Amino acid sequence: MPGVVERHRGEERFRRFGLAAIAVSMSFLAFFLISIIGTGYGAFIQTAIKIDVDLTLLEIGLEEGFATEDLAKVRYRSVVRAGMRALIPEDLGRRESRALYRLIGAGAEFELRDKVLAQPDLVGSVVSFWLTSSDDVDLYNKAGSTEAAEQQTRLTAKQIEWYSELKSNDRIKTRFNWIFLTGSDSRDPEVAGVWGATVGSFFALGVCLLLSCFVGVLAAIYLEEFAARNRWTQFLEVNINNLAAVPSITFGLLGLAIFLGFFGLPRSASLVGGMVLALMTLPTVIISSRVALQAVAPSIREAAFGIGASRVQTVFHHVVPLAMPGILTGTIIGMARALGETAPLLMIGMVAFIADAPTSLTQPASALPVQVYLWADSPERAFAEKTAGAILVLLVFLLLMNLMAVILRRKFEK
Amino acid sequence: MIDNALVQPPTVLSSSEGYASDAIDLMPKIRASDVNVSYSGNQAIKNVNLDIKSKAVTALIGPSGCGKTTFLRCINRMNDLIESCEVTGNITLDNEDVYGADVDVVVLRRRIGMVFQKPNPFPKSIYENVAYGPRIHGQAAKGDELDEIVERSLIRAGLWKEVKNRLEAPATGLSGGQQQRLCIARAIAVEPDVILMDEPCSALDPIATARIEELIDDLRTKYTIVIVTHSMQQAARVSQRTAFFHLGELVEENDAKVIFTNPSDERTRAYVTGSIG
Repeated sequence: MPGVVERHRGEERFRRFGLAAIAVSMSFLAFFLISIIGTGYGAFIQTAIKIDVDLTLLEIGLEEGFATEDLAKVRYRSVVRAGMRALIPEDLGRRESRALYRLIGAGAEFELRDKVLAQPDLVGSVVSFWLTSSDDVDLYNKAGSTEAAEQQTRLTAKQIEWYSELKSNDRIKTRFNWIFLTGSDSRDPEVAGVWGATVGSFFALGVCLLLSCFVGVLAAIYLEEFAARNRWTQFLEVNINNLAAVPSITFGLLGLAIFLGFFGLPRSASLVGGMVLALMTLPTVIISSRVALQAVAPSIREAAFGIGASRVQTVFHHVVPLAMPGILTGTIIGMARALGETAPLLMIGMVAFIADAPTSLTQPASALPVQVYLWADSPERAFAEKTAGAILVLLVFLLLMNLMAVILRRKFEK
Repeated sequence: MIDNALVQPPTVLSSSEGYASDAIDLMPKIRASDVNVSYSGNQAIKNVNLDIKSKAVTALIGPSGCGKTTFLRCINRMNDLIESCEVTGNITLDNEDVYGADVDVVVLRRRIGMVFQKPNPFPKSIYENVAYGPRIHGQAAKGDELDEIVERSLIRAGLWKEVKNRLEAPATGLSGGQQQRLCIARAIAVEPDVILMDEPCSALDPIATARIEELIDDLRTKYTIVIVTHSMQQAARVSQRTAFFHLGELVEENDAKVIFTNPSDERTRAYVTGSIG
């Protein structure tokens, strides 16, 4: 037959193009993941220095029979510094001593305090503790003290010498960085963590889910199942579709004007953040819910109407349960988009430096993508890996949400 | 809920007391007068006048697009669901206007059941499919009563023996013919007076079709049945009265025998002998 060879060739050509397209997009994804994980894994590892801390009563300024509250008042900074000095045999001047103290992290004294408070019976003896090092030591250590690391580091030659000595005495180790997961934002990279931002994101998403799920799904059901098709509903439909494409920062401005300006809600609060994100996700939720409702076979509606079910019965007994997987998927995809959104949150002040995790919806809060934005802007080099680490946490969250969408879909489709 | 009443209080004529039993049989169950239907201005049926006898099978036949399904869906107001559809004229059920202002379509559709072209069971269990109607209409006070209704309806639809051991199985797992009988069971579970069937066998094989036809013949003693069919053999087999539609008009309505052996209109003769259609 004429043209058969050419047709087969065409098919083969198309198959190759398709494979090439997939290969290109996969390589972008792989490049992105490799670079983020390569930079970000450092955020989950921290360097610690082993210090022998003298906790004898005289040293920490307490007397026999002290009250437990007094333990909190001990000047742990001096205790840590004394421990550091004891590590280096030579006599150091003031300036050199200060350089030595800079090897240990800014949060070391609090770390020590918490450990002592947890085990008060340690008081009275000399105890070895692993305390978090400063970010410069951390970076230098993780880079493996290569020549490149020496060029990049902010450590002085003397500090590097001390570091090498500690290292050879097995007083330097790396451990999992729990602070990164349990701490909140800080000016010092070694004590900065994502917990505060995660809680803020969680609160904002909760508010967003409640609002956009109820309002969005009800609006979709009304428009799809109850509203008459006329010019007015067509107008609504066009507007909803347009809203879905509006840049998200616009919703931030809207929230600023209405929620903060008109209703006087607190600035930087996760409640307002959630409300703004809900405004942004509503069109997405409405559109995807409507698509899910449209996909329910008309024969099911006819069957219900045919035996005398009212419209509400038909919709809520038969149509909505069948549309539920689609509605849920749409909602969760909307939520995932909201989770990654920064711009509208900047507008309502969720970009402030928040050193504590919020405990209520009206407290100032941060959010994960905003935290990424803030850290990316910080001058300390150690924040680069924190930024990538926070992105990894964000990606894990997104992955979990998408996984949830898949699981719920499977469950409801049964 | 009072049977034989679309609205409360029932009008005097809907009461059957005081009539002799054959007088009821002679009185039409459904009477359509001057019914016109149009979809966004396109007329689908024109001036249809048709009386449908009680406790008999009336078949509506005619070529595709002749308006028989449209007419059927006027009777239980399923056309209300299509926004562009406009119905004028008058249809009465037991002398009550189906399109009256005070008629509740929920009550109307309880009295006029419907079976559709493609079997459309709910994607729920077999039991739930049959029980749904009685439940929403509050026809069973207790669970036992509902069980009884389900069993009775399935027996009447000739499906009980096949499904009694798997009432909780999903209805969508049944074969096409079983699904259609389940839909019939679902329709009769709410105890309607009239059952409308819109080509109920068009998606079924000959054996399943034969079973449904048998079933229709059994149901005739209790219900008024109106069936739309493309198959003239089927109309001849199941119906007592046959109405022939052509291009939106009701051409002829008579006893099935007369329509198939000695029709008065030339178009009917041409259709039943197979020269048009």
